[in-house]
Amino acid sequence: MAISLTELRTGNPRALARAISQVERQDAAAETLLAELWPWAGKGQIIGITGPPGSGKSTLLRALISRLHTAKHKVALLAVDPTSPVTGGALLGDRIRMTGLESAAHVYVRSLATRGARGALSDVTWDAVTVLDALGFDPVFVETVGAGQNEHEIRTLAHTTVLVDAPGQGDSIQTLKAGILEICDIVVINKEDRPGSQRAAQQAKQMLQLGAAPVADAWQVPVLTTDALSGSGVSILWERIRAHFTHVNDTGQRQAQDEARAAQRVDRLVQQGWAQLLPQFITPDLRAQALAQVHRQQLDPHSAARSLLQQLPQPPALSK
Amino acid sequence: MNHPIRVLIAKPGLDGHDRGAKVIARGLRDAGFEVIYTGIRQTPHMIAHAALQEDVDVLAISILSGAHMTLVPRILELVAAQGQENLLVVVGGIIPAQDHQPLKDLGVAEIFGPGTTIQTTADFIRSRCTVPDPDGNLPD
Repeated sequence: MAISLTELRTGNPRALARAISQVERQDAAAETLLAELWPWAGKGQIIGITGPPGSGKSTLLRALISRLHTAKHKVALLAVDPTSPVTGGALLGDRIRMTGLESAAHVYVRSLATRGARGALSDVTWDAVTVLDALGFDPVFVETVGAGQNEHEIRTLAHTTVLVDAPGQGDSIQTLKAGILEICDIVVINKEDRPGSQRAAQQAKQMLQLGAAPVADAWQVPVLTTDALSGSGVSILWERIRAHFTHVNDTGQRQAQDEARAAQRVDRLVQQGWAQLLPQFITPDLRAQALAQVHRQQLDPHSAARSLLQQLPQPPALSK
Repeated sequence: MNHPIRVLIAKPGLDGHDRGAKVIARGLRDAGFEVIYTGIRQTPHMIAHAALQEDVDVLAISILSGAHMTLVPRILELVAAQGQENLLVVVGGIIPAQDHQPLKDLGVAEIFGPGTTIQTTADFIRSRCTVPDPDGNLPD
């Protein structure tokens, strides 16, 4: 039974859930569906929520979504959790925080496993965002696996990236490490009722100020404190999230973001397609021979790779 | 490519004992399933809603409270009403023998009592739940 575009566009919840499953399978039917939906996408705000495990990302999202629901937004959340590299299984636990949203007709929550992707997002997250955006969900939240470092991918996927941290996660040097504060547009210190929350917020502010002097019109990354359980600070957080979207729209950054997102997806798909073609050129036999030589230390890894690459079709000579 | 089977583990009703549910969640995860656990004290409505949005292949209900003859039929009604008649539903926990057949007559595929191994459960699910065809349908 193919998924009906009409059912999807009229908000049939089963059709939507099946459409996401379809893109998870990344098959020919998924490509057809995405091709049909692509012209409708590009309207909503995509919001990335990242931060270390246990900082309260899911609970904060629940607080945000319940507010937006009463404001009649059509809201979606893609909650990504890690797939085991050993067994291929996953425990998707973010939904446990979403209790109470069942009667919200305009809220869609879906748990996704990373399924072999190296980053904190699954490949299909990108396509699932397209489906939801095309169907009028605004905002679309994407909650990454709770890694906290090396999450540049979410910055490319989202218009607005929110880092959620909590007090007691380490000293100020942790916040100095590359890749954490520099990827986010808004910093949230959640669990503000806990000791040390004001200090953590202060440290984050100081680290942000140690960066390059702000240029005119640049977005000033706000550092907010929230208590997701009581809802304290959640309204201000939502205001700042929307203010950032206004900022990227007004300054023209939005277009660059949308271009970068599309480029990332196309590049990745080309790389995947190429990786599937590769064994036609570098056959398993050739690869095994090279690996055996490396193992016997007759060849080093770089030389082996270089000799294997010689098997690829060579580009036409540049000089005539 | 082989796609992981998605399982929702649900604990309906006023029963806070979820060690069994967690053992199954962990065990099925290690057996290569994608497992969604929604926590204790879920209503049939909450469970059906999660099964719908997550488009799971399997709904595994853990119940120890004795209310299974009330809660399980209600959950089955709701999932059927939302178009998931073919969802594989299994039940685990304390289910007296005389209730097994009535539950199966309602559409429960299998009942796993105390002492069932994870392997038995995983094998049963795999045998009933293969990879969907290109249109996304699982065999009935």
